[in-house]
Amino acid sequence: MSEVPLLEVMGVEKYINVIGPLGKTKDIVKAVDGVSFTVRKGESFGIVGETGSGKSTLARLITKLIEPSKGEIRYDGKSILKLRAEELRQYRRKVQLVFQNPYGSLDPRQKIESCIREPLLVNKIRQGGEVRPRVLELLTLVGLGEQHLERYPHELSGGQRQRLAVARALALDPETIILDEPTSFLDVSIQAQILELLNDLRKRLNLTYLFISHNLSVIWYMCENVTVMQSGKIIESGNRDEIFGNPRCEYTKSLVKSIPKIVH
Amino acid sequence: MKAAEEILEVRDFSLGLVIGKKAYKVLDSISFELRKGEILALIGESGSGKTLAALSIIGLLPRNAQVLSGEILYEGKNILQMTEKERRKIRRNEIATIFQDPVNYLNPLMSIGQQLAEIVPTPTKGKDIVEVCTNSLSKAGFKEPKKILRKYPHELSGGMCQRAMLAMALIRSPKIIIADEITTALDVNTQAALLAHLGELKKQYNLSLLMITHDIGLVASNCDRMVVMYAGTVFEIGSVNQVMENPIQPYTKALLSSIPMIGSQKLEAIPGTVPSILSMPDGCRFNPRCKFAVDVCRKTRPPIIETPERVVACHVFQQAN
Amino acid sequence: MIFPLSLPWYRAFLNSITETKFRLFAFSLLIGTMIVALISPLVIPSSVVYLVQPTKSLLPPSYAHIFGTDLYGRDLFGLCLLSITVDLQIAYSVTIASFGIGMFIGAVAGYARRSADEVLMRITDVFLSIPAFILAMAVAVAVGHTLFDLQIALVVAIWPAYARIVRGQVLSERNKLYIDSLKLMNVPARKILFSHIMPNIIYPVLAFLTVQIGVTILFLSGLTFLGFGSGPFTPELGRIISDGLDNFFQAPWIVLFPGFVLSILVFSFNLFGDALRDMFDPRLKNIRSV
Repeated sequence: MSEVPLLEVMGVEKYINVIGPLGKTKDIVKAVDGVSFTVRKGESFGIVGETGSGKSTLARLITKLIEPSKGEIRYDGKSILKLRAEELRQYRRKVQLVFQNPYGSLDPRQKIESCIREPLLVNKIRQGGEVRPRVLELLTLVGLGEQHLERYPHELSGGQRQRLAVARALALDPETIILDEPTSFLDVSIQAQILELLNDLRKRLNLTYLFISHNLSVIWYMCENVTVMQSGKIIESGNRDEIFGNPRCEYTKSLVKSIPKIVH
Repeated sequence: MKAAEEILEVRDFSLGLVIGKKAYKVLDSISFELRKGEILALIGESGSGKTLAALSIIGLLPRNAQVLSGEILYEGKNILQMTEKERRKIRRNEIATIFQDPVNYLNPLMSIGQQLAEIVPTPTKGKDIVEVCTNSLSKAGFKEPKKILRKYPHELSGGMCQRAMLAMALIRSPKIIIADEITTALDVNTQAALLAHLGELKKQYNLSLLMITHDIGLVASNCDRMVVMYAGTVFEIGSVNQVMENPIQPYTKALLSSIPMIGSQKLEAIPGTVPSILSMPDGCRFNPRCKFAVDVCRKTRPPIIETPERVVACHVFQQAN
Repeated sequence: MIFPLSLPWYRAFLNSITETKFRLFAFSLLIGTMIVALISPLVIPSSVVYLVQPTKSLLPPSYAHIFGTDLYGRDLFGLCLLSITVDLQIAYSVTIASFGIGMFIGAVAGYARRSADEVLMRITDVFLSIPAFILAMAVAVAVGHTLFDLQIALVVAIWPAYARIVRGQVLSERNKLYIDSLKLMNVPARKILFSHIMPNIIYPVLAFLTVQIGVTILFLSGLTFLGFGSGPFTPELGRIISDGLDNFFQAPWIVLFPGFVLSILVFSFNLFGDALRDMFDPRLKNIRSV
């Protein structure tokens, strides 16, 4: 893990208008309220928060699915707030996102092969005859195989779909992957498979992870530095052992207290 | 294992489901007991059959279900052989159930008070109904029960909705509460609070709780004994401390080592996936994924070895050592 | 039916349509009318339409003429069958054309920016603000009197309905998670709309479309009933009915039979549309989490 800052989030705020029954804005909710942190190249950075903490909104802000109301986000030194079309495409190749929901994030009518082929073709990463071998390569990388090429998403299990989502994210050869609760919808025994896969890939491909979860045990296992969010704000930040061993804020303390410490 | 204190016993219960003209054995001769005043965890992943087991106990099975064998004894009487009327009486007064998504089980158009009032037994009238409801709400942990009476479900948070469900369950002072994944949709803090509260209720009213969950962490901190289920089979039963510290059955072992916990060095993922009902493996249902599997595991069902405090179903591991 | 993609679509369709008697009946009725439409022009000589035989005028139903004859001595049964062909032909081509236009406009309106959506929807609203039938009549008057001109009038009157429904479907689909996924992959908007969204919304639209074909037939008959179209020798049910109205009391069969055929025709599409809607409903009720 180098010391070079890769992703810098500075004072980001996102307001959401709550529309009342007559169509007028009834309330303004600060989904993200002044969040700042830095992710260094090669590290696995964790964001802990419950529902409503703003962590998923943060993921969407960083991938530019939505725009921040205030604040700055920099990647590799450059601001990503106002990117032109080509620059945005370049950015998306570097920063990818794996969604929480393996059931909703795939087009149900698209076969697996097409699913991986599409980003390769659209981004001109491979052409013609080189496409299929690369598709197979990516599938094998995540633990799927040739037999899955002609299948549809609903024929795969949740764990397999999540692997597919990872393969698709990798198709663009990203540097950074944001993982938004990648295992919450999965069974406990499958979760371990996916987590091990993610760790393995990070080492092999030299990736940087931004790992978002509400499950502290998973965060403990996967991340080096951790940030705790509540109601859109950052409550506490630090390296993993500090946060878990010596939490300072009440909220963090209560979270850490509720983790089972089972002795084998 | 015939302790005098058991209140509910499932004995060699097998359930089949008819899907598209073929019958599949979904629950394979499961046996466990719920003792008076304890919190028993029914642990399993999706596809383990735990929800079906719970539904079988209260007699709310899907139309295509067939009881193949076994009994479910409540206070000595077999629920499966009761009439629907008798079962309804039990569901109403003795065994209450709380399900996972409170939003789905609360009528959005009625206030909490109205929904509670519906359950209050008929002889009670007027002001007494309000009192009964308020009592129930404070038993469930609400600090200002009178206010909650007037609220609607959408005005309450997830945790509060779940407590409202709990209040509904408590109105008739049941002896058993079955809780099916009641914490899955809740935040960590709320989960902890709710379960702690359940623990207190158990002590105060000598309730017996059957907690169905897939979250081992919760089980560790709240339950007395646990039943580990996989693909419709009971693999291990024992006190939570014992099973967690010294799991005997390979599935239990594998499950515990695949969950990240503070201090885990490396997770050992269980290869493969839970088999679907339509294609269950022969013999022990875990054998394709079990690293200790031997020939006999692929052919016959694992024997059930019972001691007063532990039950293990395995060919290979039959002793606690 | 949406999910068994693992089966080729015709297999899935056949499995589904034979599941209940209702669906089978609806489908058979529809196929029946289409077979009649295909065979009639081959079997029935065109003299049925054009040969005027005053001696045979207004004969009641008999073995020679099952539906009787009309004012011009033409066999009503043959006329009705031939008009099924005409009606279906026109209904299908009008539907294809108006669906093509409506789908395109609706899709773009549903997916593009708010401003484009507003513009397109206002245009659509202009067309919708005039009752469709009156609009069709106005266009028919302006354009001409052949059956082809009638088709143009119908397309103009009908496309907004398709634009609306497609737009609605696209609007609800675009908020789904997998669309976000695709955006993140740099898939261009055009491709997202036509290669991903459209195939996923086609099913409810298809059900709507089927019923619309029936509506189109009614429209067409209404127009020819009022006198549009190419004169008394148009084998078209509406026209036949209106021609016969003058003599209704002497020869009620010349109104009743064509009316009956028209009803059956429209009914078969309604029924089939119902069956389709039924099949496309999420039928995942058998799966239960255990």
